[in-house]
Amino acid sequence: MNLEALLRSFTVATLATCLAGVLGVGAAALLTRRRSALGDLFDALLTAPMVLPPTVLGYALLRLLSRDGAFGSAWEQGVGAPLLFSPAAAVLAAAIAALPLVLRAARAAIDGVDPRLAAAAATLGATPARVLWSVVLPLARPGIVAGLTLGFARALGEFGITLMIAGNLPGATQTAALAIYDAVQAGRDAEAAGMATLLAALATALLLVATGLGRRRRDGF
Amino acid sequence: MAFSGALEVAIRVDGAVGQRPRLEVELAFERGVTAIVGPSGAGKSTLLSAIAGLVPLSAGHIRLDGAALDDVALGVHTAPHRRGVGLVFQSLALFPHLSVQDNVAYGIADRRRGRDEARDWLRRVRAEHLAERRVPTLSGGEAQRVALARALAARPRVLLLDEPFSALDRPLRAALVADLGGLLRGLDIPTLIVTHELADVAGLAARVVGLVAGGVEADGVGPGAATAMTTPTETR
Repeated sequence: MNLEALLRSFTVATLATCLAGVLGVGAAALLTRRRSALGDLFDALLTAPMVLPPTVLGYALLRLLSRDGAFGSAWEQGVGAPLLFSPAAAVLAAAIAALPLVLRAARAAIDGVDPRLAAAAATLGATPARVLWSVVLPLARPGIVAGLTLGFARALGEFGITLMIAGNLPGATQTAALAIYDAVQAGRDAEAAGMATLLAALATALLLVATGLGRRRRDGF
Repeated sequence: MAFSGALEVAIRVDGAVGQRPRLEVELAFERGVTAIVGPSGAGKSTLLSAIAGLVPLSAGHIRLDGAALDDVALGVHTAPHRRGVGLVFQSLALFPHLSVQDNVAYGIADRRRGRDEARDWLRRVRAEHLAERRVPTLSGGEAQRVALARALAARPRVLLLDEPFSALDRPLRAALVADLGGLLRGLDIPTLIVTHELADVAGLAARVVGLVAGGVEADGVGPGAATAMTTPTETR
């Protein structure tokens, strides 16, 4: 059992879920109840990682994050080290994979909040930001937490994008999913089976949690 | 028409393309209670939502004490949170994740005094004993009193009540009408009460406006106006 890779997977998935949570919930709050062509395009772009082949996303990110790309060169100037093939790239890859799940769940949860409650808050003098913070997000919380749980599970199992932009460097960027791939390639079947079983069990448990949270949301307060 | 008052509403709210406007009225409201009656689809709730700034106007203006809250021709629209217009929804729209006291304190500008003021308003609607309760545990009558306290605690310049008695049975309704009368007499603001039951507001409203199909069908002023108004504005 490659415990180091397993621990790295948890760290990467946790950080990625935080990043996807901020971006996904923020985007959901902006997009919900404001239908526009630009908003639909933004939504489609953020949801694309769910349907695009990881190699396509990985290739696009390779170009964007390389030293020649705008984001990659700015990162290297700011941090002093390249972004590609670093632990930060693994976090970014997992966050991009998790983002559509968080966004979709957050949008559904926010859409599900009775608009009359937001209107009532506004007539009581609350600014749109306060309405969002004190009424909409608390009421959407079970759905948002379900989305974050799904996102965490997705980040934990992320493979393709991570391989493309973070590589498979033992001790640096190798996550559990990549370690399983390595173990299979090297014929270490027992190690691969152990880690695969553990990841499958974790993913199933997380999906059960997400389902339970979704049911709580439907049942209301 | 002669057109002046504390609250002036001269608006058109269009419906779907090719259909008649949902609402097209010119009304001026002085301080005191006005009942708005009419059958379903008459535009009563649309009128309240428009005054609260919750539905976009197609044309016209809404002025409060001479200042424009909305003026379509001038491109003026005051956001709901800046209008000082309190609205008690037919559904009440109490926040289910907050306690009764926190619901009432929500609109109180001075947050440091919010708790004490919320208690005070709950006492005035005879609901102080509910302060720590969660909203989903309230009965219809209790929720109605809390919604009223919440709207009043925000110190609105205009108060709008959408079917405030509809969910209550007759004894509860009578008790709330009596309490509401006492509270509203102490307020010197334009107050509009949408109701199906003219009998409920007979002792409260000095004026009754009847809406039918988005327009003003009847407008009666003075004591007894409510009881004098008859069908088609009264439906039940």
